[in-house]
Amino acid sequence: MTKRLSLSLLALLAASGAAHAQDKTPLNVVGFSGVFAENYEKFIIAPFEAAHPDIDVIYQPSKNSAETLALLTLQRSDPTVDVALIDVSVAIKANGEGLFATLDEASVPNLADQPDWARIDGDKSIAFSQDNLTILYNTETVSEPPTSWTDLADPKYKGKIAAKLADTRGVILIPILNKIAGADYKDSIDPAIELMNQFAPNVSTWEPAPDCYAVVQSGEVDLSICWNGRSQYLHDTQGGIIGVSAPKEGSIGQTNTINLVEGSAHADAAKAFINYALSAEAQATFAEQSFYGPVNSKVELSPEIAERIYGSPEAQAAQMSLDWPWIATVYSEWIQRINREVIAFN
Amino acid sequence: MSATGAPAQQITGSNRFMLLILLVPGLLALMTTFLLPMIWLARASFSTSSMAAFGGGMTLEHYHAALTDPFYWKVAMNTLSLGVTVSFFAVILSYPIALFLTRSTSRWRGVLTALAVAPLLTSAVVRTYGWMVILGDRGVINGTLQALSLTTDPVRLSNNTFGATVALVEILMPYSILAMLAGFGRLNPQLEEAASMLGASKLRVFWRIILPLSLPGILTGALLVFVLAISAFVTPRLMGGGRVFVLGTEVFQEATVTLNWPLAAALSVVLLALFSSVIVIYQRALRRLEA
Repeated sequence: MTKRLSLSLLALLAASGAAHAQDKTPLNVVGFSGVFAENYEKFIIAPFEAAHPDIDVIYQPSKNSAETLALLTLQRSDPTVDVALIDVSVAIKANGEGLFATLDEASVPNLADQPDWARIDGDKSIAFSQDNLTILYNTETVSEPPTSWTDLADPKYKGKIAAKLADTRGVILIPILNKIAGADYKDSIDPAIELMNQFAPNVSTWEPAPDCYAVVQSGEVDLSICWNGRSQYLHDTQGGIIGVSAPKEGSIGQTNTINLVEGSAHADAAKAFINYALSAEAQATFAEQSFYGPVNSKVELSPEIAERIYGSPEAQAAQMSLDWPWIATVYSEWIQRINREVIAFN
Repeated sequence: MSATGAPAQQITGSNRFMLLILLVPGLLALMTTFLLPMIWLARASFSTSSMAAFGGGMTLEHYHAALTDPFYWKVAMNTLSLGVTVSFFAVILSYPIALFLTRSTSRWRGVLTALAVAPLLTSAVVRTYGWMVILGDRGVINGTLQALSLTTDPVRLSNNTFGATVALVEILMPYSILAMLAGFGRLNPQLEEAASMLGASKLRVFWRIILPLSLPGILTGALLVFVLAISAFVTPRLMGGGRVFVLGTEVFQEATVTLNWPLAAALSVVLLALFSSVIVIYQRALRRLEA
């Protein structure tokens, strides 16, 4: 009796297991954590799964891109991750190690709608969103919000600025400041370093703790240089103490890329997912919900959303994009210069 | 040495075998959690691949980069000076407490000792945040100074080396108190009584009897604090406002921001080599002192 029961149970289990394996392909996606993860699961993964009932997307949030890179490096011979969402500078580093596979328009048709700068390293890494660098201010202590990057040097902000610049934030600020000084970032970054040194005496901390948003929310500083998406989210959810002021000279986005991991066991499902993530529909929804700038050239944003992502029409017209593979070659050198020529003296 | 040397000689063959068996789990745990990662770290510092992957060639370029760059020498000097300053103040502040706890005959002595080391129950990160609240521009001290109209602008007490030093001293004090309590075994009240009876003043008793006898404990405490201070990373990073460049923060920067893993590994090995030599020299001196 018990034997028969256990046998039939076993058969049932095997059948359900087989059925499960037949109709669901697991797809492992590793990406950013926090609000990004919430929005991505809700507005990209859920609609994709609804359209592809045979694919089960499993999203693993990672603390930062460096950690994702470490994971991919460790797993390179037998990857469990199929798709990785990482910062563009880290993606280029990973491509140097051959961690990602090349995509093509035949299997990922939406590639055709991405601008040239977004198709990095011969279509191995594709930019899908850009989170602008912006200035945050405390609406209770700052009556006149800054309108320009040069406002950071205003003496009234002495000891009232938090600026974490020894990472991608600094690397993005350099071309912005160089443009203000009328110089090309590929020639020399001396003008940008000089402009940084003009506002450096106002900086109270180069290492805001716990992060560049909380120090504005708590009133510890008046201004902070941070990412737009999270700032807009905190503006909406934390009682409006955090204000966001996109400077008129325009900005540059921290660029996020989507990548197919070389050797992925579910490459077809991964390509279908990447194609969806790059679609105008997905990027428009994500932009509206998270205030990350879209990359797909077919996306049309409403004026209100465009203003919250890029700032005034003047700032929108001045929005820049970078030659990321070139930036990757100078990334650590620029951070070293910020550390040694700006932070160490202020 | 002699106390443990004598019974060791009595160990017979089978006992020695038992001892070995008993040591195996501990040695295995040390192997996998300490020794292997160290070997991996050392190998990574010679890697030609920027991801510090195994296999591939070996190169000395990262050591060359680390050792020929004056900036890293400055960072090493910063680290050393932070370590020395922090150990000095931690010892000065802990010594009276440890001395009191050793000599006290109060029945509250156990409770007081527990209180002295109680801060260890809270993580160093939490205590660092505590110091940020106290020393910040809008913190307790600046708030008080401004309320008393002694200052108008905040005095910068945090986001610099001063803040990092203050926080490290407080965070590491329990370690030096513990080390001193353990090292004050030679203190003997009868010696003090004898000295006083022979006419020595209190100050003279302290200089001639108490201080020399407690010196080994002081030096052990100082060494412990020094080692913990030079390898500290969270407190200098958070309290230093990015302005305090020490080897710990630089290794973190190279490993997580600029992703130069072999350079981060090379800097770690340099840190390890530099300060193990300091420790070896220190212990030699200590042993000579005790002899």
